[in-house]
Amino acid sequence: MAIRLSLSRPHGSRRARLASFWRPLVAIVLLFSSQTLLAETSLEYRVKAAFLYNFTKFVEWPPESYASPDAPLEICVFGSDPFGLTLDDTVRGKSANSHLLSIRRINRQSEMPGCKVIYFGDSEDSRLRSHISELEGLPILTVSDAPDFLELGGMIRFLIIDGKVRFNVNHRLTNMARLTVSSKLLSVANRVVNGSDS
Amino acid sequence: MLKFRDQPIRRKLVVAIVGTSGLAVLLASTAFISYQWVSTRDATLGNLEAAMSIIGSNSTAALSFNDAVAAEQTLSALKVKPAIHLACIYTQTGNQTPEVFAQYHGDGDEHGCPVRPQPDSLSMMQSLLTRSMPIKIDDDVIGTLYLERDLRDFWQAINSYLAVVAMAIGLSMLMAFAISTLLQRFIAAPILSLSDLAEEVSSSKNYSLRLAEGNADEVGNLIGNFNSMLSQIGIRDQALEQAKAELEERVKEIKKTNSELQTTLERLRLTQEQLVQTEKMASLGGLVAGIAHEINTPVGVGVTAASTLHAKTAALNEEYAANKLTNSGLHRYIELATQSAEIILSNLNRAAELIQSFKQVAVDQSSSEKRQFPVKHYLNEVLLSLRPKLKKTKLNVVIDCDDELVMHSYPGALAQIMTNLIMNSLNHAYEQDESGTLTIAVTVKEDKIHLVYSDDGKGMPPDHVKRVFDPFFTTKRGAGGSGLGMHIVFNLVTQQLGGTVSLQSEVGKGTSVEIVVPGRVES
Repeated sequence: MAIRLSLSRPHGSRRARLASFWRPLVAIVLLFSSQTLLAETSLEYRVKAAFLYNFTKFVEWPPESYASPDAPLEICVFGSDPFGLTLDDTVRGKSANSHLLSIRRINRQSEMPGCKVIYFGDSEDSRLRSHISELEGLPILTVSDAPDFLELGGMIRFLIIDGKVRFNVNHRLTNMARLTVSSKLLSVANRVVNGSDS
Repeated sequence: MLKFRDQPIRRKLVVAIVGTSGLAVLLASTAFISYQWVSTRDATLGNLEAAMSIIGSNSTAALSFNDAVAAEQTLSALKVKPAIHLACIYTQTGNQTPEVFAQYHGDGDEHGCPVRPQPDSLSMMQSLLTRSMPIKIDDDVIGTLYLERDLRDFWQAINSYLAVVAMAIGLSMLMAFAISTLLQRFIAAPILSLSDLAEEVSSSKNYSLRLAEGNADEVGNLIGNFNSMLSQIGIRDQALEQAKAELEERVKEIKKTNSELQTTLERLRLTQEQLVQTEKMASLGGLVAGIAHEINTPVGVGVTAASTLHAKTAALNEEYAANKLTNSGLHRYIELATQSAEIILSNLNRAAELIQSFKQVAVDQSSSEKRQFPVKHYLNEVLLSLRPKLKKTKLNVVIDCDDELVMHSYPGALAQIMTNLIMNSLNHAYEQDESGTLTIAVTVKEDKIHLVYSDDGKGMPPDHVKRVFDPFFTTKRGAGGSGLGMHIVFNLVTQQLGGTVSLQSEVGKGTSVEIVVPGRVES
């Protein structure tokens, strides 16, 4: 899993802020290898897909949130899907706490209950506040790339630091949602927010 | 070098105590070191395992979220364990070659993380312990933790244990030596003094020596027993000495008694000889009596004839002086004188003859000389000397012997033998006025003369027959029997004549004595 993301590049125009950051690195890499260019897009999201999967190992959901003891643990992708089949490949055959992992792609808020993890795609950036308010109090781990995600009430936000995928965690919200986040996860987080406005 | 068993007891004791304690401490120390080695190793391994488990567990998030910095921070906690000088965390993705994700270098690391660690292994080398274990979340292996631990501290600990143990052994042996050197006095000293005393006693034979009472232990008992043994030996020695003195005294007494006995025996023999001599003289006396008796008659007749002749001659002389001698008177005188002369002559001849024969017997009996003599004639002469005794009895003596038989021997001994035998028959075999026959039969068989003397008297019981030749055996003591007659017969036959004598007798059937002697006695 130790893939250094030295060859990342922003995905899509809305990541222009990031692009300016990534560009010099990309130029250097291009001098050496044109092969990696094709995999470039999916590399960052392969890592993020793996992270999504790994979150399930360090987070515990309250037992009553499962319909049955052997009910699957669903990771939902809301809106645009940057992972393609990578996410499905990553979780195939895996399980967390005896709950088989599965992937569900959703587009409506009504489809959100039942999910244990919801990743909001770029398409949902403008509706994040609405989605989050809808989920308030539910034991669902919310993840997004949106820079103001934590401020909007999200729980985990991906970011890139020194070419590596990192994440910030809003510990207060996870606690409110009755999610038990392992201290190990918190220890590798880039930043842990405990207050409502930090 | 002396063998151990020949060493003095004090050295044995010291060696035994020092050796035993040294060995005991050595064994205990070996057990202690072994235990320490095992437990230290187990503790070391256990500590390592625990540390690795914690590190592994704490590294799961860092591995999962690709945070090498966090992983290295986790690893940097190993600083507190200076023995661990290398720790590496490897990623594990599928079947790909593991890559170093995070590493920690302590002091003393020289080579860095190995390229391809074993997923789960343990190896312990001289001074290096390496361990790798998988890092898991639930059952998913997400990486490998590799650790190298320097074992120098482990060996230092063992070495310091060894040093302590060596010191303990040395010290305990030193102590044991000191204590045993002190203790051996309590054990060895009494034994040594005992040994010295035993040596002194055995060399000086002085059993009055005693050893001072020892302690109340076995050696003390030994000393006590030795002392009592000494006193017992002393008592026995004394008793032995006394017994020896008594024995000597008794031997002296016995010697004295012996010599007295010897003297008595000598005196007895002398007495016996004297008795024998007396007996001889007695028979010689009898002989003289016999001679006197026999000669008396012819001499008496001669004297009567001579006195008659003398008277007649005186009467003739008176008649002649008175011229009254007649022719017829002279004639009568001549007749008487011739007759008287004849009577005197014949009786003197008879007397001379008798004297001659008695003289021979008497000389033989008193001189014991060897000569040649005709047996029958000599026997008759012996009988002649006994005639005065025989005349008083109604016994008849028959001599059955060849007239020509001559023997060269001691006639005195033979005369004595025959006299004794006949006198025995006279004294014992017949009652007063009882008639009987005494037979002397002489034959020659193979150069030996067999002389069988027998009577037909009353005989003897077997117990008398058995003792008949014993000296002083008599049934008529006090009535003239000396008990020496048959003994003298036995001695004369066996010693002087060199022959044998045997006696057969039965009550009522008479007695017979067979004498076998050589016809010619040599020497």
